[in-house]
Amino acid sequence: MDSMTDSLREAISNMDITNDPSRPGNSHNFLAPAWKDITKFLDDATDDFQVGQLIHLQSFTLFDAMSAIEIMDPKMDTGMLIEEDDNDKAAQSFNVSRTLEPRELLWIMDRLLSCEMAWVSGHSLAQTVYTCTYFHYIRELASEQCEKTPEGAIQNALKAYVLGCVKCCQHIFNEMSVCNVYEEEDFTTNLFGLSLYEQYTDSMVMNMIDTALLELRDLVDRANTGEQTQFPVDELAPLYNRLFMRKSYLFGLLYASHAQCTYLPHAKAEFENILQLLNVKEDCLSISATIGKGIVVEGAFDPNINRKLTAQAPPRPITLPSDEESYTHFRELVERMVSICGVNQYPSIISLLNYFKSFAAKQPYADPFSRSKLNTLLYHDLRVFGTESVVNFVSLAIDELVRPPRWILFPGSIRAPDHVLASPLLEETQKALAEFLERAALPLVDYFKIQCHNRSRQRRILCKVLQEWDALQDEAEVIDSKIQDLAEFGFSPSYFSSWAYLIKLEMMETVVLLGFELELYSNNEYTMIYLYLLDVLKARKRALDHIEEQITLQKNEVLQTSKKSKDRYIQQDVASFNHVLQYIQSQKYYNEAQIRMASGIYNMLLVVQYKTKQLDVLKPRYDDPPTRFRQRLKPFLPLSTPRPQPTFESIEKTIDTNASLDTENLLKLADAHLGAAKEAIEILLNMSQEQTRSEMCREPYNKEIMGMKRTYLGNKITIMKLFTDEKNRSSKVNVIFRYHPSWPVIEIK
Amino acid sequence: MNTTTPPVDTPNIKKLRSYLNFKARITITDGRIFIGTFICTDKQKNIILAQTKEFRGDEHRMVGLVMIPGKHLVKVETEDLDDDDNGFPIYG
Repeated sequence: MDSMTDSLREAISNMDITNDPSRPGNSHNFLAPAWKDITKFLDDATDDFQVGQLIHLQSFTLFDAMSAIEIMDPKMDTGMLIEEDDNDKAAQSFNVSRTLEPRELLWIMDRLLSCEMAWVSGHSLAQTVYTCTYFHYIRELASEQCEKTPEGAIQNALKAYVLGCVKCCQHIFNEMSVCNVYEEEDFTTNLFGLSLYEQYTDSMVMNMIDTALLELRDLVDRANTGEQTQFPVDELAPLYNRLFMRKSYLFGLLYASHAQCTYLPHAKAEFENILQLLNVKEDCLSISATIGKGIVVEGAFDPNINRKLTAQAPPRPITLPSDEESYTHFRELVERMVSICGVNQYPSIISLLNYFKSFAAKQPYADPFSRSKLNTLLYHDLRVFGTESVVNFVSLAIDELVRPPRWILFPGSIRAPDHVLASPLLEETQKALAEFLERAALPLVDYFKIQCHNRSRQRRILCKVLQEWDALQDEAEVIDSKIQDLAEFGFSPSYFSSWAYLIKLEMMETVVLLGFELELYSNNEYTMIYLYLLDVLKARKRALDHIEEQITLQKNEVLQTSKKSKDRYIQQDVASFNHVLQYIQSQKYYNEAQIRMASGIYNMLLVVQYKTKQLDVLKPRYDDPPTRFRQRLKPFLPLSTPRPQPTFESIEKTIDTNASLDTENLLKLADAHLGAAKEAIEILLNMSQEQTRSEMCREPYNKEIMGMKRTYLGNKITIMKLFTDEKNRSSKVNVIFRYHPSWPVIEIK
Repeated sequence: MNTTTPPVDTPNIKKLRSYLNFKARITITDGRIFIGTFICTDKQKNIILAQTKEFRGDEHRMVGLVMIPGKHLVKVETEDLDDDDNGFPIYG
């Protein structure tokens, strides 16, 4: 044998062909790499690093790095052996069948509510509801047979409450799984492979609760007569109240989950029950008076349970809100549910839209569950509120705003003119109109659904749908001209395109104003933004004027042709025209108030930014003004109307020209504009809720208008100060959104 | 506008960069060993490994993307590909 073969044989014998993956880099394993110790080298190399420098694979980004588990961090590193603290020991050895004192049960009930509220506000189940040890022993808990003793009654109450809580979580989970809100951003639906015990039906749990309530009631009665002395009434009553509230909550969620909004009134009644219970404060046995009065039960909750549950991303740090805060959140959620449960009773579609918009704007912003629920109620089973056709919905919406002749949208309701009925174009026009309505229906429903997203997401989505409405407007113009060909009106109507245009303008206005509320703009951009806002607002004014004109023309035609007629239908027709005209009027006043506010604040900004230099303006660091301008106008640039669109140069020139006036004149201008705003606001405040279509949101609407009024006052005071005292022109100013989320007050510090 | 130019690599940094995307074996203070693809490190020697396996004595399990803080490092090794001693001798 030559030496080569020997070496070969030796080499082959040395090969370890056992596939043993558990040998960590055994250097005899040919398949595994040899390892080279670079510990010292790493020290040297990293010394060469600059502060903050790192080396990484080019494809590896910050976003990827965020999901890395940090080793030796007890919250994330599940392989770490940690010192078991007292709570861990207690949690592991916790006996779920152990009898509880009433005040211990009280603590558990309140703690569970905190966990639920934390979950609804977006934290994961593993860090909230699942930290309750009882949740992992539901079967044992449920199958316990409790004796007819006072202790047994407390155990039954515990069982009923925990199971009631599970069912409530299940209903909430079912709603959130419909995916109306953004995963991770708003809410996490991760169940970690654990069940929510669907096998315990609602009726089973209701029975448990009822039984427990009866037993508690019995204990209370017997304590009052002196028969039962083990548990005093002042410890039992708070438990009873909470269990009763839990029952109402479960019923409410159950009723609200029925399709076609059939049981909404029942749901509303249940949620109102809860509010009644929470509102009682004087009674020392009420829920509100006994918050936080429980005794801690060690081991009943284990915050470290998330270490045992598999998750894709490391858990975010979480502190549970206090008992008081949780009850506040709960009350707010229930108040929202009461409001939402009345939503399918709406006097008009515009009123309904106003309700949705006020829901979207109300602070504190709504929780993901309410938002999702409102969304589901509005549109499910391909129908509005589960019952109405979307085409009918959009037809009514168009009718409410631009009031085309009824025979166009509702051919069955009134006889069309003879020349229309005889026209060869009739069928084709009807077909085109039906197609347009089909096309427009879902974008309109989406406009409602957008209001159910979180505030930032609302703005983002609106930016995206603007182009859709631009296209709809174009299609609407085609429909308008077809109708004109058919009907040969004396004037060229633009019913459908005006409707689409007005909604598009509304959205544009909202996008710009939301930029203030969401604190997107830096103060050096304000003047530019206000100039663009004025463009949009003035386009809206022209659109409203045009619609008013058209409706008035139509109304006059009807009046002419039926001068002496006491025909009921004609009178109804005229009344409906007036109804729409009144609404248009309210919109015109609101628009006027906005235009004047924007102009007034713009002029004030010119003074404090360019003349007296009282406003500290941030210098652009990462971009320059033209780039920033293009960025801000990005959602609007592709739109075909309104035109002309401003360029950076035209805006800059306008600001320069305006700022060249002297300070006194600018202040006078600001004063005049704001004064006109105030007059429009006063008129608005005196309008009826029918005229402003704010029947479903009267309070928030009033609050908003009052906010504008207060903003006017605050700015007026500043103008006066700047006018009267030269000294005031040397102190710095702040731009604060004190009374209104999108209209600021410029205040002297 | 203020832009920072990336610093020029020293020979050490260049060599360390060459270890990126290769396997590393890291022993930490509590005795566990992590083997994974070396992705990233910084001045504090915090190291990110991908597709990582954790070994504790004889047990091992997959942990995925991990970040090992520099302060817990005991030993850091990289897969040695230019070592010919364990190679396959073709010519005697």
